[in-house]
Amino acid sequence: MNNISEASFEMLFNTHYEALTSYAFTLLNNNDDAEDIVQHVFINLWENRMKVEIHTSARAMLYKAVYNHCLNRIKHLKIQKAHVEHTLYVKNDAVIHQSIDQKELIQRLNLALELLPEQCRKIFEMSRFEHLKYQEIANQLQLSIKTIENQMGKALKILRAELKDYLPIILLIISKYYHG
Amino acid sequence: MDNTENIETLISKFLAGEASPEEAMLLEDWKLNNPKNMEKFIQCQKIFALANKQATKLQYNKTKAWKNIQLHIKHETKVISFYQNYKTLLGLAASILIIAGVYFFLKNQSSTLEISNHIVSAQNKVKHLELNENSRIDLAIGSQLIYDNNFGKTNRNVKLNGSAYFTVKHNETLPFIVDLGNVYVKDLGTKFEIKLSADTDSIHIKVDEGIVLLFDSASNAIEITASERALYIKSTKQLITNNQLLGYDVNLNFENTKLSAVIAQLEEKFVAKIILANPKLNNCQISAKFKDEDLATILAVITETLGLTYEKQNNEFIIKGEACN
Repeated sequence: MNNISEASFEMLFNTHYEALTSYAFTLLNNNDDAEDIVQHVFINLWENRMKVEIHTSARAMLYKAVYNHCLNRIKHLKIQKAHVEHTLYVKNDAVIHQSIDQKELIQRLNLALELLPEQCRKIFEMSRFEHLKYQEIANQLQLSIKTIENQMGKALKILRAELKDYLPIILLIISKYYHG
Repeated sequence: MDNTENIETLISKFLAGEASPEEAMLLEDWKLNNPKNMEKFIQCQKIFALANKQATKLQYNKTKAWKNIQLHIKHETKVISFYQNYKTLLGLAASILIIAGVYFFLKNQSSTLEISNHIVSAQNKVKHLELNENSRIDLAIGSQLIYDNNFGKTNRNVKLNGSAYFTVKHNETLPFIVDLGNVYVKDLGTKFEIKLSADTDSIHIKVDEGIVLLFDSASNAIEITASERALYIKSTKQLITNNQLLGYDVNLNFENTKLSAVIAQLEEKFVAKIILANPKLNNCQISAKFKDEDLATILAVITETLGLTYEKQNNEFIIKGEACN
């Protein structure tokens, strides 16, 4: 890493920026924070390129750094949350434009959920509707995390099979935007 | 990894924000392995979004991100090289000044030295300077500008003590740099104003046209574009712009502080204008701590806590409400 050139640094950025941002996004559920943290990690890497001895691959180091920064951010948000009952994210980002299609899709989803085995559905709903962490679900239901992981996977598998025909009409979730 | 039997477990783990860095990498590899895999992943992502009532779309701007990062990379190298040059130049200038002094003292005649410093002071009224390369400087009363006689030839460096308004012709090979004592402003084609605060700890920069770069010897740097303002706090080496999204080293502690006082502090910190729509709100009190938060977040927390609302109009934040909680 000592002699990292700007060109190879740029390549590292181009190769991993998108994947790292979408990873950070799953952890934070907020675009600005996700982008912020990933950029921060890249800047850190550049600034410390003389000091850092990388034992693993640069890619693994980037993922690890993004993960740690996100956890710090979450910790910080929890403190902030004590002030405001609902996190700002709920307010700012929960703009739901429900078209007729979407309403119908949600009905389809509800029908598909009925098809899941009881425990499997319960776990999926706790994760998606109540926004509970796997650990929290495991504690409440007195199950192992491994079970939660597997049941979530099972739910996703069944739902995908059931909703397959309707999925193409769902608007693209990932949208890149460029301006300026 | 092509273990399709368990891939849903990995995907749901990732989408639920439960994946470790290693798992995230594993999934990324799987996705890129086959376009079918990518399609499957997108389908799963849609299901998760559908089942999430607060669904937020993943959005990012890679071009902008790279620009941000580049800004840091570029400045770092520039600052170092300039700072080193500057130090040698300063050393050289100092020794020449001493020689010049001795020379003047002995001979009492005009100097023919190659480098000498020009010192211009505006004592009683604003001084208008036209430097030999078409840059105009309006020097405020009580301010001082220093440059050497290679200005316009091998450098365009000026040292400013005080305040001045600059109208600078941009020259790629010979950047115009204002030295404010370990803080520098570099023009990128520009009309701008530099004001030293009465407390002399903060420097105000206002850009009317073009872009300037504000940087210090600690490698902090920020680009200020037209109609933006920025504040630099010398003692803490803080750079703050009025439309900055991120709080730079913001550390605010309020304990039963009146809202009017809170606003005064925020206005100074963020170089922003905040208005209370209702004068009754001046006496509302709040206790809160903010560290490294942006202005919008701070205002949201404050207004939420007090049962008020705020909105942004043009460049002003307006806090509204009948009374406090």
